[in-house]
Amino acid sequence: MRIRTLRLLPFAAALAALLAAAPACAKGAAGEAAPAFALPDLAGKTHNLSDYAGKVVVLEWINPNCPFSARHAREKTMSELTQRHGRVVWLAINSTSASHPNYLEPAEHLAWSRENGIDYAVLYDPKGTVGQAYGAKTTPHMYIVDEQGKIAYNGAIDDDPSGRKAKPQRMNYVDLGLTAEQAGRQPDPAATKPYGCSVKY
Amino acid sequence: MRGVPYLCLLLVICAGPLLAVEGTWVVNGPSRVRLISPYVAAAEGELRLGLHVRLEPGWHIYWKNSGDAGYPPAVTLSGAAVSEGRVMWPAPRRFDLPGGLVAFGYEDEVVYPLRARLGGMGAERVELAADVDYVVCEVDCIPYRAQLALVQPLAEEAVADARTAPLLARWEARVPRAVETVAEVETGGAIVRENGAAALEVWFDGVEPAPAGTGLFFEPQEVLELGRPRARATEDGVAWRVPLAPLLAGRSLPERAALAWTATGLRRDGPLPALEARREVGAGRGAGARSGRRASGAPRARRGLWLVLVAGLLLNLAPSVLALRLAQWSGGGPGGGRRGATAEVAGTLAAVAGAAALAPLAGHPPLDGSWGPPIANPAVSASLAVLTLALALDLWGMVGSPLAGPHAAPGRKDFTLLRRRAVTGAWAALLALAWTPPWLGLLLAGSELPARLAAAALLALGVALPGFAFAWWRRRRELRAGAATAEPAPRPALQEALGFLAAAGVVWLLHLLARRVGPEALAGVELALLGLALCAWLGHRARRGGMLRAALLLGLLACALAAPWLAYQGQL
Repeated sequence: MRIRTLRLLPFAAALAALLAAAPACAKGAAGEAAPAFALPDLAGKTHNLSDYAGKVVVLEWINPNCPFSARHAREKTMSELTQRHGRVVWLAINSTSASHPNYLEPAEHLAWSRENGIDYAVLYDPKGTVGQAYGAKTTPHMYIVDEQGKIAYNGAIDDDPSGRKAKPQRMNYVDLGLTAEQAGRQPDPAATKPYGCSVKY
Repeated sequence: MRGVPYLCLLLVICAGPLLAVEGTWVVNGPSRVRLISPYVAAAEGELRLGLHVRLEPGWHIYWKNSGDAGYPPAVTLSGAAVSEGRVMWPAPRRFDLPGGLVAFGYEDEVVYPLRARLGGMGAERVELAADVDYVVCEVDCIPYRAQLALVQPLAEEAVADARTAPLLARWEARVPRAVETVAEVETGGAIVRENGAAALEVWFDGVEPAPAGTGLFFEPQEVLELGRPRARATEDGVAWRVPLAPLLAGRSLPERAALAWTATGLRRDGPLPALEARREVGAGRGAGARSGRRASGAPRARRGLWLVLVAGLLLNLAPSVLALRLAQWSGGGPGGGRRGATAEVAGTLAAVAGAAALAPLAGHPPLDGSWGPPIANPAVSASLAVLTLALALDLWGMVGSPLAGPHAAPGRKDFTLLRRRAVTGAWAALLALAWTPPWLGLLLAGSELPARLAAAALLALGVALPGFAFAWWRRRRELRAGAATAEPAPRPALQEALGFLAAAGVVWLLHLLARRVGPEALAGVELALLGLALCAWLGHRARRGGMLRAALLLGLLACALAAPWLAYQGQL
């Protein structure tokens, strides 16, 4: 190929990039394939969603500075569920932007987790790319990924945004969904409106 | 004695706060809440009350559809002889949050009107209580609970309170009215499909948009995911197109869906209150095609097609496009005569058609009045920055380009030249993507495809028209001279100066990109562009060494691809 022709390559490349710039649309809807990710936890270990292929995975969007996340941490809402559904992989994801006042350094988050008895992995997504890929809107925003890698549930943790109800009176959608998954059924409801603070992208 | 009436008036004014039926403020962080009654004395029957909320600057509280975060206040009214309490919702405003999230609510102050039934009296007063759960957000979101109380005197006939009644009435006036109560105003909706994408079309006929802008808000529902409404004026009123998708993947859109919406910012012989409607919507043809009174297409666009042509012409004045045009004409002219000009128009049209065809892939309706919105996609912006920088480098003589004019001017009927003219036309159209004539969106947004295609063709023609004009001018000059005129000598200094004009286009695109990507991604894109320029400069300096030049070309290619990739990865 002549050098003169090769010099056109950047133009062609820019055009190709221009034409190829097409982001996906629907995000995180129940029934969709769960977007793959590889994120570090608070100790720096990378977790790939594919590491948990064949297992039911719960994703919890978390922000310790959000009073809703903080309340559920105090009330052990998630920790108790991890114990009740022992075979489920539970991953919290913090998509708070590093430039946001709510952002905590991993060491600070670790201290908060220990203080609240959170012993499941917390993954860091400060660019918010995984949060955006899933369409995560609030903290907490919950997803159940089934054994086939599809999103089985997307929505709120429960039906009690204000936390006024006693725990046994709450309808915990994730508990319902995991119970249904274990029984080989589809979660019902498969989608609810999440509540809480907006994810601080 | 003349002072007595004034004294009485003063006493009434001073006594006002004592007479007013207002609960005590409950202070919760950045918010204060209380119950108010518009009555000095209330009577049996319907009871009007208000939940008065004041917020510190920057904080907001929610409407009945809170949007992507928060939740609406929950109010439980109680008290002897009080029943059927309910909250009414003044029309909200929209809050755009980071990450493309959205919330609906109020800032600074709101009074949520409350309604209840008061009956079975016999006492002089009734103690009212309200248990309120609410959340307020700024940087943080904080949920609160408030237990409010109010002692309401009772009487046979209701007596209005001069201070609280106007306050409550002001907010009651902001509660949307059913559209059926406004004469000659109609609303409807339909689920429409366009190029495979589903959208909800909502229209209000018999109104016009207020200059300050319109709003469309949907009540909570569990069937559809509704995107950002985009308004346009129609011949009969105002219509919005709302992207939609089923909430559950793999499920088709419902045949019919019950939806409720509120529209604000409408006028009919003066401002209208917010209007609400509940409709069952099904598949339809949208506002542009449903009315027999209205021809298909976009009437405004049809009426304003000449404006679209002017818009295309004006796009030639955008710095990067202007640099291309002036370079064409200064360095020997675009050449190719009328055939060349035709080739350039064809190139422009092809680029516009290509952009239209690819727009749905980037999540935009084709030619949806959005010459500019494609650059809302960071990868597209960065790609355009690469294209614009390539033009600047070309003008600085660092890269060879397929463009017509700047350097070589082969024989005017040479096929290569015609091809170059076509590429130049396409290039000009792509460079013009970075600039948006302000009225174009208003003319075209959401209009039907034929009208948009016609407008796009006119826009492309407008972009290409200077080429035609130049060819015509040269031809005239040749006819007068009786022979082909000599090609003007290239002016390298001018072309290098025009390179800076093109570089201004890169700066503009980086400015746009700064709003859509994080600082690290922006720095990455800038480094990629710098790397591209460096490779081009080194390649230009390298006199020999095929391997070196090949390596530099690879580097150039890598930088050109890295810029959009980094922008896409770093989008906010």
